[in-house]
Amino acid sequence: MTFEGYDTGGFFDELFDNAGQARDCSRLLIAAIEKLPKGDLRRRQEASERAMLSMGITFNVYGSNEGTERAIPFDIVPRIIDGQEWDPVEAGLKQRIKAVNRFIDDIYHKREIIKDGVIPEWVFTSSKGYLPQCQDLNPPGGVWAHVTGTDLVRDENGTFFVLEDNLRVPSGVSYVLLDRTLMKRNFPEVFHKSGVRRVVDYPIQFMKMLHKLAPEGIEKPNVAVLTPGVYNSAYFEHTFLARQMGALLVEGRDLVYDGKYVCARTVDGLQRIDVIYRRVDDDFLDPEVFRADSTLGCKGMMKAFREGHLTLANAPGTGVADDKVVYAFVPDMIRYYLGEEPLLPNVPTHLCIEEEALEYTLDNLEKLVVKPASESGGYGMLIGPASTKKEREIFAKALRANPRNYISQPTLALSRAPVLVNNHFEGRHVDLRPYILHSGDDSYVLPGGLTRVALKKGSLVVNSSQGGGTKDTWVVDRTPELEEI
Amino acid sequence: MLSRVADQIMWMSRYIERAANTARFLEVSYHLNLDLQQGGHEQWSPLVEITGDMKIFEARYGEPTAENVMHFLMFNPEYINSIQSCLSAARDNAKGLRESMPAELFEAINDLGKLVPEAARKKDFFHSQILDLCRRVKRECMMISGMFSEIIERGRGYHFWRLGEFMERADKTSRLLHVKYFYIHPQLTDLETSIDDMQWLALLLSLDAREAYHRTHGLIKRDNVIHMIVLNPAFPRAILFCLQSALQSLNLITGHVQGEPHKKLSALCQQLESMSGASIIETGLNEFIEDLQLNMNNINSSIFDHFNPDPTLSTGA
Repeated sequence: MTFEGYDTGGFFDELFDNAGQARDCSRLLIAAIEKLPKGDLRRRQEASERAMLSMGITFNVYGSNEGTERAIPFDIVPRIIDGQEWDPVEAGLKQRIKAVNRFIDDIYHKREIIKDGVIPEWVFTSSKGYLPQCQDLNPPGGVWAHVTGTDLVRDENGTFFVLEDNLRVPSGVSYVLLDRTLMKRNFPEVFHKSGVRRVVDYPIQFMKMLHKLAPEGIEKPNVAVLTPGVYNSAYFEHTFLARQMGALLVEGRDLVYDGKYVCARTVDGLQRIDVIYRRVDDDFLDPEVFRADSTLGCKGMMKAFREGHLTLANAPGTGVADDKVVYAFVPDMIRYYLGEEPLLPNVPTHLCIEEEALEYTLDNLEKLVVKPASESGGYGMLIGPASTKKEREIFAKALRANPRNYISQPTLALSRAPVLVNNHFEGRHVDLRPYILHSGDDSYVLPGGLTRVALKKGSLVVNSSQGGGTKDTWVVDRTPELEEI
Repeated sequence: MLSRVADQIMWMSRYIERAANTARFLEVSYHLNLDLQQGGHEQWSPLVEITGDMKIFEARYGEPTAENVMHFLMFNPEYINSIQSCLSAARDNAKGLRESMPAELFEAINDLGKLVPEAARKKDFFHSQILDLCRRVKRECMMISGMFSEIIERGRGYHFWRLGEFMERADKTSRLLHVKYFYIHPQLTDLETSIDDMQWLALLLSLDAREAYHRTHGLIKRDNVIHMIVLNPAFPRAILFCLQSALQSLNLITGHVQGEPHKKLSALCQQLESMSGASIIETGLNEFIEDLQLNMNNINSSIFDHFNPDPTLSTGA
């Protein structure tokens, strides 16, 4: 199995430098793959995919008939990041999430950042995730965004940029843990020698964080994972996390409010729940406060939360910062709240609500990426260079009609990584979603995170709902000499 | 354990047991009817009668022909008690329990849920297909129940499974016995004739009880057959055996806390223990069965109430 003829195509490649030489951090892996007999890697990949199917690691595709469960495609060539390159990224993420949490808390209290003129008021009042019902709430430790999945991309120079912060209910972490399990089976020697930073303790870190942020005075909190149920596309992940964390997996119909606490109905009677890691959107949490027709949450949940008898992770209202317009102001938040310069840059962003930016965007549609401000999953965006004239016309109309709802960014030359295609390798674009657990004074960043890869040739869209796959991501601390293997 | 989870486990096992019983029954009735064709005694409507869903059937199919009845009971996706619906409901429940179930068990239930719809897509002779499916469903269901015995720790989950399984089986055995009532009813002149014998035998066959019966009782005799399938405390498909096993599991779930379902179930067991095949006939088979089914429905709702706390009655503990 050889990488001969592999072409980086002028992009920044995660495993090879511009001259086509394996980077220091990936030398061991490349050498190991090159020693494999022809066809062997393909067989390993197929075995891994079968293992995923039989473990039931599938997601449901929305908008198609029942029974359309698919395994998310998995590429067997890991993406490797040098530990020394990773450390500043980790520091940048911690800094960012700290500032974002301060911002959310400020917005729901005194709004000093608005009063001081750093961010205009319309930015948050027009954010879809802003919930007036959350005014003056005090989640334990002042933490609103307990779990964040921040999407990073690298440009042609390999510089990391933040693309967006997923602050509501970011998914995908189960794939990180499962991909890792599969890769340890496939490349135990390389793994052993490379000093790959571990991800296996993520569920433990998660549980520790939730314990720390439990309601005051509760020593051994009862923790539950709240899922919308078996038809949710991420149901597998919910069961996986609940099992790994040792938490109760509950649905809305399992919960009742007893006047003070949210409780689970168990065969022994009602059991108090202290902390809920919810994978249900804000709108559905409590029919008394939000959508009245919701059956996914529980009446009284917000009251218990407001009165300090329940911790919700992430806190309702956190979505105010999960908006691509608010995103554009995160560097300002970092300067304002922390008095520091941002360690991780944003992708330059044009806010279409500003007249100049709107004109620029309309004039340059075929060069830019236009995104709706509050969608996720890669839906509803325009990738200029890959768009048709008709699509651009539709977008131009939508932009003029509702400029607040759109931002535009330059089309980045996203970095690539080799993937196995039949019996050779081709470069495909990748992004990276590290998961950050924030517990107030400290944060834990999952080393590496989820690498999503656009498996379609030339495509820039990595979302699993749009034909993306995943790769294991190794942050390595050792680059030993070749002959050791 | 969450009340919903307990409920889902019980329903998962109930649906599997229900599908298996329908399969047993369909297969045996088919063979019986092949033999009864001669002389025009073939009857398909009793198969629908015992489900208690005759109205649904008539509205959808009209005449109870062999094909209609078999399609109704095996494939009809809109009929909630068809084999296909039961297995797919079991599969849905299993999905909701996936995090607490060994992978192998989940895969078996998952695959079984796909068996009937997949067969329906194949072009095959309808009758042989139905017979083949009946055999496979019966076998697979027994295998899953066996897996439970082999790999599940004897905790609450296990006993909720058994509770659901045995309550369902007791109900289905009683319905099987009921069909005999429907068979004999319009044809009183056949009583004590060879057709009558064949019908009793078919009943035993659908419970895999023929050998055990002959070993204990010899020739087919009505009172003895009734004893075998209602009152035998050693035969695993007999109603008394099922109820006693259900009571055992119920006690193991709750420890020494005794509630309504415990009381009712143990009273019913005691009542049956004091009866004989002859005394059941004396009461009247139809009356006995209807009374028994009412009793069991009552116990089922007590079980549900007992394990689903009413939030207005208790406070957070």
